[in-house]
Amino acid sequence: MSDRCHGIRDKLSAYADGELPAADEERVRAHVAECVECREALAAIALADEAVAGGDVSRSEEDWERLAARVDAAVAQADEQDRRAAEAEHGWRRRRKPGFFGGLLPAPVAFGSAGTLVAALLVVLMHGLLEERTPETDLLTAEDMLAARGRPRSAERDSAPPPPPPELRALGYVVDAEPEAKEKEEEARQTLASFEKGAGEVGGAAGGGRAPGVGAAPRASGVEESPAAAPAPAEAGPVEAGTAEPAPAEEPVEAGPAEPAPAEASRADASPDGRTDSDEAALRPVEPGLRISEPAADAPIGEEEAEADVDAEAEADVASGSWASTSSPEAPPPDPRTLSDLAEDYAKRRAASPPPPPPPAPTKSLIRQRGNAPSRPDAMTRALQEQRRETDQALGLALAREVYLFAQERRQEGDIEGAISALSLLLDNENGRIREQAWADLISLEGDKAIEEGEVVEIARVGSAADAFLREYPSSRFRLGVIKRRVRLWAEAVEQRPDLYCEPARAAETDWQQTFGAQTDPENAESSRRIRQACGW
Amino acid sequence: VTESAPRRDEDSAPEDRELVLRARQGDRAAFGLLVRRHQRRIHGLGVRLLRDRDDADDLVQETFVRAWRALERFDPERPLLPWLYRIATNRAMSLLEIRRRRPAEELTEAVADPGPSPQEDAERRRLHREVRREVDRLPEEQRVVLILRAAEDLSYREIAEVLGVPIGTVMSRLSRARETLRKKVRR
Repeated sequence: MSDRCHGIRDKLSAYADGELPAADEERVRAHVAECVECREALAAIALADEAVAGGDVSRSEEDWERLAARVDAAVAQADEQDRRAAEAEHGWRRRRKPGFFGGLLPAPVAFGSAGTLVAALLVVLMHGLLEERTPETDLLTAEDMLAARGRPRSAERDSAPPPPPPELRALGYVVDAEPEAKEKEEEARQTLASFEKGAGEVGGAAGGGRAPGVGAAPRASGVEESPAAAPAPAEAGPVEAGTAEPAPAEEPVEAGPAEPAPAEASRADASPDGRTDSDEAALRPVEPGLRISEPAADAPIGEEEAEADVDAEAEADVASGSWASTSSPEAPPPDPRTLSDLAEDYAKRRAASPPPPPPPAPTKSLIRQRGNAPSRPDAMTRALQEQRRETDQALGLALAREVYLFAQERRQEGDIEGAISALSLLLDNENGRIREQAWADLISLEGDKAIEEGEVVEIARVGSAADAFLREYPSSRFRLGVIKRRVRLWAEAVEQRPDLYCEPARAAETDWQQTFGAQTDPENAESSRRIRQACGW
Repeated sequence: VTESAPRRDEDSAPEDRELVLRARQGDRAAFGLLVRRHQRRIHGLGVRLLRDRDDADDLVQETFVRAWRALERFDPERPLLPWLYRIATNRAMSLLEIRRRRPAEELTEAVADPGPSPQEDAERRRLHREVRREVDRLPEEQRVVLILRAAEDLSYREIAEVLGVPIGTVMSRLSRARETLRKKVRR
């Protein structure tokens, strides 16, 4: 390009399209007449246009009519959907695309509604393991999980587990038993009750009537725990679904120690490998979760029958309500081996955990002892408990890590629904950092999926989840990503339903504008523009 | 598409307007006529933007369903096709955005090569293929402008309207896209 071409070359494109103002056009024409290079550039433009326009995009008349008929049907269906949506005033927030999670789960994150027994059990398992929480576990991040070894951090939070933010519930990220899920809930309640029954026979009154895994472990540590430390979030969906009657928190303190001892003794007798396992009794409520993949390998003899029934029920539930059905017919189901491995791995580590503490001493005697120097058995109990607590924390985090890695694996293999299911398990985690990471990942995965499927209700649901995330974690390290994602989601939703979504879309746009603006985030300037356009802003 | 594009006789504005008015009253048959009239254009855009014929079919369906739902808000005095293009383009861009963040997909030559023609020798076909491959690698914002201009034959003003950007932006994106292609594709 010669100097003469300066000021001409960037006009050639518009010149070729006849879109230059008359004065410019005359100048370019005169130049091109004398400049070989610019003539070649014009020829290249013509070639490119020809290539882009060329190619065969035609089809037969029958094919066109078929496509048009398909559109007709879709329009009729949209009409019908809108009519029904109008009828059920608030129904729109609840409805899901049929086939999404096999139509059985109202939402990937609706694992709290009872059909998702396995999900619930896994979560329950984690609840149980993380039961004795310390500030350190709370502050562990998901990155820490990924690093397999949690680094203790300065304590900042008190020990009461945070309830899931109300927004999660409102948005379907924590789902209460919905009216339409009543039936499933009842089913799960019975199943879980039968778990408890099996456990209760051995575990005694201490575990009876409480949600499995949630403060249900009738072990010595229960004696010292303040009621507040027991994470029995009656708020939490998954637990709630299976909890028939949460017992008063004091119950284990008073009644616990009295009953389990004889039961455990008889159990120790019955144990085939001679393990005296109040340890196992303590874990009993969470065991069914493991047996889903690994049926009762070392079940105590006296209970084999009852447990076989429980297993059958558990498997039936698996088949009907959770992992097995979380994939659409098109997508292959999540690799069951990995889940089994997870359980197996856990079982191994569980087996390798330190010996159980001796039977708990009655509360009153402990209180009496407090004024004195601790007796040797008490000191030993404490040491063992401490060891046990550490192990449980490590196992709980390791399990969360496994679930997270599993989700990543699914994602990489293109099984988005499998990844969503796995991440959903972590959403209810009482560790705020874990929940935060899972939540952010879900917004990303579900957001893409919703936009791809184009279902406006689903898009808006995830958009609302992003809104809630930003309220819940105003200084999250995922905040910037969520803000970007959110503006895209709302742009997509508001274009379809400006009558419904202008308000949240504007809020999202404003946040994005204040955080980035078109200059620093040109990628999402488009979304911003779309929102302004749709809302006449 | 509009007055500036008299070359298209299939979408004479008054007729569209009448059908739109009927469709707004809930007349799905009238809307069906609009579908049959404009689906090819939307489909062509879909194939070029999404590089997949099935995706283009889906795009046609989604575009018209969205248009149907939004018809109340559409001004029947305005030309319909740019509006449909806008819906389709926005939708396609969303899908492309998601794809971009997914593991790389194979670029497919969805727009089939036309058979050999007397005017088009082997060398020219090779060049066309090369151009299309490079077009696929352009930034989306440039690619969409080029397709709307070169394949859909929209004026700059129409493209600006479809994309909701100033005409100057259309002009500069197009210029950059063509300059890139010129540098990449050597005769």
